[in-house]
Amino acid sequence: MTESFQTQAEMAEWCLSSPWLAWDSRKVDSTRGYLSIPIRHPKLSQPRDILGQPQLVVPSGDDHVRPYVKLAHTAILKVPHLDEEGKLCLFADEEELDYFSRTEQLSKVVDRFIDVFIPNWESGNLDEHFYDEPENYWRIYTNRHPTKKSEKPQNLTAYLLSRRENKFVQYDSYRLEDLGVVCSRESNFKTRFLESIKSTRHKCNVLEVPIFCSFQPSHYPSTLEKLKAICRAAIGIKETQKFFNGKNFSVARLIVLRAPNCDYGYYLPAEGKLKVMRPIICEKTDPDWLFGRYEDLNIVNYTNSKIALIGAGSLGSHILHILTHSGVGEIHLIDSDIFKPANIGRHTLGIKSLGKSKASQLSSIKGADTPNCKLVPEHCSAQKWLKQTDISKFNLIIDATGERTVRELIATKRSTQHVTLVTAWMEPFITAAHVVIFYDQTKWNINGLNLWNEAHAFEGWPKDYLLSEPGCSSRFAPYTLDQLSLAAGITAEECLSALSNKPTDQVKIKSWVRGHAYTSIQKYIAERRNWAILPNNIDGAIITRQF
Amino acid sequence: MAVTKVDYRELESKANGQKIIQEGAIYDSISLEHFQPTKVLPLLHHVNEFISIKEDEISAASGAYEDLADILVKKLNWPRENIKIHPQGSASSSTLIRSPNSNERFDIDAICEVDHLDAYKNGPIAFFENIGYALEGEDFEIEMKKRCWRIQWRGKGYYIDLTPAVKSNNISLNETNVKYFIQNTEYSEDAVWVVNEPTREWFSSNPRGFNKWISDRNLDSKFLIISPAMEMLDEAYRAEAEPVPDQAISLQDNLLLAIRLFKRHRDIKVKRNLLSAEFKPISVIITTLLGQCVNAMRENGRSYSSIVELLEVLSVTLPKLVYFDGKNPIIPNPTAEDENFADRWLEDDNQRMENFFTWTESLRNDLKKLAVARDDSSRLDIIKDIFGCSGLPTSPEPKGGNPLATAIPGTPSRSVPDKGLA
Repeated sequence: MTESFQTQAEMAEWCLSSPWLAWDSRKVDSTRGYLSIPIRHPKLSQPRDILGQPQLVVPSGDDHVRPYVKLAHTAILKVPHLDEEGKLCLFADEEELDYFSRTEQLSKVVDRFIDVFIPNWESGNLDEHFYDEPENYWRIYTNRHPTKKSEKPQNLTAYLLSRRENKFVQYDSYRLEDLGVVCSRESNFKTRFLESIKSTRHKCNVLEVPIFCSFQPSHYPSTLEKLKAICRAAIGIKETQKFFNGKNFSVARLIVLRAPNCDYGYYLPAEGKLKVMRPIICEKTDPDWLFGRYEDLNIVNYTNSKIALIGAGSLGSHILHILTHSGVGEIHLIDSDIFKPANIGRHTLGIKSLGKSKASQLSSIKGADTPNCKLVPEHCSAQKWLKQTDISKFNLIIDATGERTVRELIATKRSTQHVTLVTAWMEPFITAAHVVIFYDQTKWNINGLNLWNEAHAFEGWPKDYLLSEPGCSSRFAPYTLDQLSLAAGITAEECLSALSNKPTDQVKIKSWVRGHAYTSIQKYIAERRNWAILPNNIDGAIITRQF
Repeated sequence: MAVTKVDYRELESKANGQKIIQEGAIYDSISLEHFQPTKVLPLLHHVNEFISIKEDEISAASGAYEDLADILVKKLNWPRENIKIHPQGSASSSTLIRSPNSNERFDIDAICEVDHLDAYKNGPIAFFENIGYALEGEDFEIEMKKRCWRIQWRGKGYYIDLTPAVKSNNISLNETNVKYFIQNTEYSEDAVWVVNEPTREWFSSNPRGFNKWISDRNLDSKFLIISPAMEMLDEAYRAEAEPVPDQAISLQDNLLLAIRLFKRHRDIKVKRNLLSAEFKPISVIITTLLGQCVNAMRENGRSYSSIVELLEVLSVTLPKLVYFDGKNPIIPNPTAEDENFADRWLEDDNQRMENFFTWTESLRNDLKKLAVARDDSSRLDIIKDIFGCSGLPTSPEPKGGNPLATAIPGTPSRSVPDKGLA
């Protein structure tokens, strides 16, 4: 910004030079931090003349707040591109205005309003634009309805846990006082979702009706009769009557009209108060939307997957965090450890979990946050769990223990029970992290090659690279959370890929290897193997090898 | 199963009598005085123009027919002269209209008539599938439908539903896998056999005969509006109401105008979720009932003062032309009366039937609003609303895109992304 108005007089002078601005110092209100200048525009004929007196709003004193055009409140939901305050959105990318000086900004806003908005509004060319952002307008509508704030229902958002289907669905559910209505026919996700939110429950009968198209605001069903007419068209007279004429009015009802790109909720309170039908906001909450935003086609594989994660320590807890937030449907957590203060710095659990089972705490805390994922704690040793479990019932086993005995036990078990295996560990100081993916292959030795040994990037570590806890024989590897997150990231990435990839008899080793700049400043320096040598200017690389 | 013959003259007479009894007083009061053809006809033709698909778009699709025929010749070794592809349905009867949903492609129904024994000697499915195989591996996507192959080109605004067909005298009625409807003799020379894939049968059909029938009925409709009203169109309004050059219908094509406007009205109701997209009244039913209606009106000697009055009476009469044989709704195909277009109305909890009557009721109410409107401004608003043409009349061409979404002039270009990166 290079040019700005220092005084109101300068502003007035600039406005007077514009044929479209009607500067009147008596009407200028600068007390609330902005100036509103009436805009003259060509007279519009009925029914287009609903813009009221458009104002050019110029924030005063702060050049970083952009100017805009404001229309009368009566135009809200009648004119597209208008927000709930009457602010008109004239540009696809308003940030572009920041490239210009204040006077240029004002000119561009006024020009766009007069030259682009007005003729397109008058001709009706903008009317279809309501269909581009239906959720925005529905949000404005629900916020404005009812007009009395005291009548506004609290926490009446509908959370839609299932995707839109082509057929209508009807089911019993609940309204949670602290959240809103939990909508899903699918029982497991809904049950875990309901358990996650500790709140008073009220029964609610839900009808989800697929509709063909989103609405223009002028066609929102505004009465119960109009809502019924839309239901009749979509699901037939018989089903509509069944839902609306049922005798059980003691239970609240929710009708969700589900267009392909917008959901419209109508809440009917219990006890025959049908006249107070309330339009409510709907939030997509199905796993596809939460975790894939409809772009990741593999999300279906994740949601239907059952994983066993052996080891709920630092690495395991971070892998778990990523997998649950990626939409995996079920994870069994196997770990016999208790959570201690020294774990806090590198684990996803915190102080509330002290003295408790890592597996159980992760299950209850992560499970409450991401109820899409069924978490099953197994507070026992890996050995015991492997002995009593048919691992072929899982889609994937993740070994995040870094322990030889567990590795060998899993290999033995996999020789008779087929399951894909991901084994992950880190080298000292996280100079390297490795993920090994076994599909059909079960052994660590292939053609005389020991894959465990082959995977490592460094050799010749001194024996005391592990530190001892004071006054205790327990030892631990020194590393920090920031490094750990990189290792957890590549492991989780491979776990998710393994759920979608076709099995192969090859073993894949993916390694994150740090460069000289990092390894040379650690307490100990080991010998770098040839395959892991990186150019001096490379501080880290992901290297994939197949065996 | 033979369908009961429907006497449309009688049904129309009954409907006319009921209308006079129920609405006589109101109707008289709003006759000629308010049905101002000089005011409304141009607006309706603006709507018609608004919903039209431009001739060059249809021509582009028609151009693809030759390419499709060449593919069949090349891949199936059928003689070129024995393959004829031509439009059918709304594409050939001037009743094709634009979808109200922007970005939705329009479909051009085409029939691929093959007159070559090698093509159909192995039965209907081999014939149907061979055409599908031949269309594979080209620069378009194909999808099998019940009686046709849907052909879609990337980036084109239309798709073609290509129905393979064989001349009717080439298949014997004695074969076991045929479903034959006796053809109306007036149109029987155009009958063909198409393949009904789900039942693996030859199915008698007559798209060209149906077009001729619409054309004949359109002629009937030209006599329904009494000439004095037409003469009220002064020169200025006549000029305004002239159809644009590439528009296929004229001021007197009352049936074609009615079909197009009614189909548009239906599509708008679907878009507003007041009709089911799945169970909405199908075009062939709307077309057939309107055609039967104008025919019966002419035979019963009716006349109307304006197109608005005609449209309103059509909307009132239409639902009453559905004949019920007991509980079974009957809408015979006018070119083969044993074929009942309403044969699926009692499936799916009667939703097709419900949607038909819901639609005709809303159409009647909407047109009544137009008929009783007292000034031009109200008429314009009603027409814009009921036919979903908010751009009328200053901008008859619906404009794509968002004029507010363009970059601000003078904004420096950016070569790397700088938004949504965290």
